[in-house]
Amino acid sequence: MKTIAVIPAYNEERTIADVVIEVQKYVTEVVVVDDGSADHTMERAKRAGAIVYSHFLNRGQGAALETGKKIALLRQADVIVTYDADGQFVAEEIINVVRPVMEGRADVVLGARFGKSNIPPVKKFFLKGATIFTRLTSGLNLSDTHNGFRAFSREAAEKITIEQNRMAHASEILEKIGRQSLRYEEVPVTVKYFSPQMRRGQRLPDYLKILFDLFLGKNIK
Amino acid sequence: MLIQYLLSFLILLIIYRVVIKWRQGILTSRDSVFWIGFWFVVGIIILLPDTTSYLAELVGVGRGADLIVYLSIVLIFYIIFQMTIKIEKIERNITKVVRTVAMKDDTENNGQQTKNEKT
Repeated sequence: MKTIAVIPAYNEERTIADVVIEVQKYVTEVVVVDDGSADHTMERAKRAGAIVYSHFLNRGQGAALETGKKIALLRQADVIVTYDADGQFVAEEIINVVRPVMEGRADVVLGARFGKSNIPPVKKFFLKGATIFTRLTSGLNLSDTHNGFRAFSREAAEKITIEQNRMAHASEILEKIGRQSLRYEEVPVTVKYFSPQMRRGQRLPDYLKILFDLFLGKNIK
Repeated sequence: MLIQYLLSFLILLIIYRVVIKWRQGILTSRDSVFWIGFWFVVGIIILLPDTTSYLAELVGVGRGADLIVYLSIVLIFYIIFQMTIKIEKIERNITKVVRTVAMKDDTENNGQQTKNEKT
């Protein structure tokens, strides 16, 4: 089975090479989509051995993921793993994330950070809110919703088209899983949180922005 | 009142511009009819302000001027909403263009380590 990891990267020159080298151990190919980075993300990823495609304008994580997914499908992937470029995940866990798809038990596997990671309390609060929101909108009962660690079977990847350019893509994916009634499974993963000065992920205004983007998406034909 | 003449003149000018743009094919017939109708109504309100008081009374708003303010705000919000949707649509189209370009740039991955100079 051909497993391809898709890593969207925007200005991640500090971490991308290590991430690519680590991930390569567990997949057949690594596809990095450089989302219009202003730094050396592209060169570093290439030197580390990734197949690199580049957006000449920054289009957002959702857009980069969709590009990577399309490329992975063209490269005949049987399983597609999405992974973050910032080094918050543990590459070894790809084995666990991929397994349910490999064994045909699930079409989509979603990484869940609860239980395994040391999450700051405020962050936890918003993540919990997001799970309730997800239950209401998509019908999926999850413990974690905005986690970039996922695995898709080829068929599932073909069915899910990411249209949200920015962070709302995470909710969009879940909604489409629900609508297509794909079989999904949650697998616990580790998310490393760095010192508070190094801000990662979303804040309150970002969550509001996501809600607004989702609302807009509903009104676009 | 002088303001009435000034504004009426301005509206005639705007309607004239709409007709010209219609002729040039910049505005569709539907849009042109909408805008001409819209400015025509504005013209009536300016020349006969009492009509709004009548309407205001009819719907239960105190003064005609208030009614106009309320309706304008609703209209402005609606237009902003439409524009936001349109912008998002354009954003998504830009993404499609960027994606197509990215995927066509396949050559750099098959062999030589060249840095692509796109910007």
